[in-house]
Amino acid sequence: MSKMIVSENGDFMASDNYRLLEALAEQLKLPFMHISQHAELIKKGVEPSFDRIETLAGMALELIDGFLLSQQISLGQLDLALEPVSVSSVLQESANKLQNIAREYNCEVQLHLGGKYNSVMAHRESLEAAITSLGYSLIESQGGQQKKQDREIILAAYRNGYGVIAGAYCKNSEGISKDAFNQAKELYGKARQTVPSLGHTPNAGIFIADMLLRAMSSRLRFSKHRQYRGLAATFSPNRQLELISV
Amino acid sequence: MSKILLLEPDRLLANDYIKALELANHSVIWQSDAQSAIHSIDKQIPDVILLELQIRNHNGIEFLHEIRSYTEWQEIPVILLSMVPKQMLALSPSIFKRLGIVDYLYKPQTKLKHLIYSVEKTLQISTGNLRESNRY
Repeated sequence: MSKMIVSENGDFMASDNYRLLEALAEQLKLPFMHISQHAELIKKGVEPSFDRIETLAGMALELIDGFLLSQQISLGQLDLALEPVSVSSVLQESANKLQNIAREYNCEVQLHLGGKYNSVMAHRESLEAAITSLGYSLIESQGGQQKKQDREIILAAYRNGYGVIAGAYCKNSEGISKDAFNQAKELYGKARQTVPSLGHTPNAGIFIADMLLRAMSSRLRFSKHRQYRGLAATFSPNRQLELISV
Repeated sequence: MSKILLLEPDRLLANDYIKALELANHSVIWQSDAQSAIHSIDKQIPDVILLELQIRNHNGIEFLHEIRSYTEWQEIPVILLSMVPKQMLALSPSIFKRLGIVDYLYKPQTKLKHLIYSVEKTLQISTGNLRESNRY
């Protein structure tokens, strides 16, 4: 599935897909460790939390599915059938999926849906997987913050002059910047912390989201929303749909 | 009851370590970043520090250099409890010794009972004033 590219002098260079696989493998250690340690504590008499086990396993599977989807698309095994998609309903669905993991990490997921905007042409499953992976990544990295307001994860959609912006944001002001994100894109699969100022993980979810969005001719970019900073993608509203809704 | 400072950026992992250590009758102060950990040591010197190397904004080695720059904090034993595999650490045994690292535990392969064992062994050595016979 993953490709290794051989350079002119015969060195193996990891492709984006392979690097993403490495980042994912590192990232998935966390939920498995949580489950394993929780089982060890249960044996010691600690009250079991089946919800926690279910949530952690569920999010690990979401991440794996997001990765597989991105690979199938990038390897041409799956044709993206773009359809009119309501961004706000996708964000709502992702927020629902993230509620339980957010509770485990003592985070709060908020939805900010600003104003009225039309549907965009996208692949619903990929967009939902991208937003969920992105949100999960931010929850994991911000869950350790001491202040409650630093543990707020915002899923937001709003319209600007370029189109409809959809993404995930947090209050950690110094953590995410254009430069930090560009640097991180060079580092995933190579570095253990792709954005050290943001968090302690390889942030595989962010790069899975980016790969999924690129398949829809969009991409993740650094973005600001009110006092929050985050990563978001821009979608051009479909002109035909705009005419219909007028 | 010994006092343990846990510097762990992941909330869920920290909760598990705290529960396991408290079940073994240790008192734990959890901090998720280097700056808060330094403030915490300033308030109360712990008997052992459990340290993840991958922390937000800093890395654990920078944190260690910083705390070792204060004379009164030079003797606090440190156990590395990290996601970083040992072969990737690129730290020589002499650096381990100089930084007061008494044990290294690779998180994905460390059971909670091994963590407790390491903490208790470290406390025994520390109270027996045998820290100079560093295990690394």
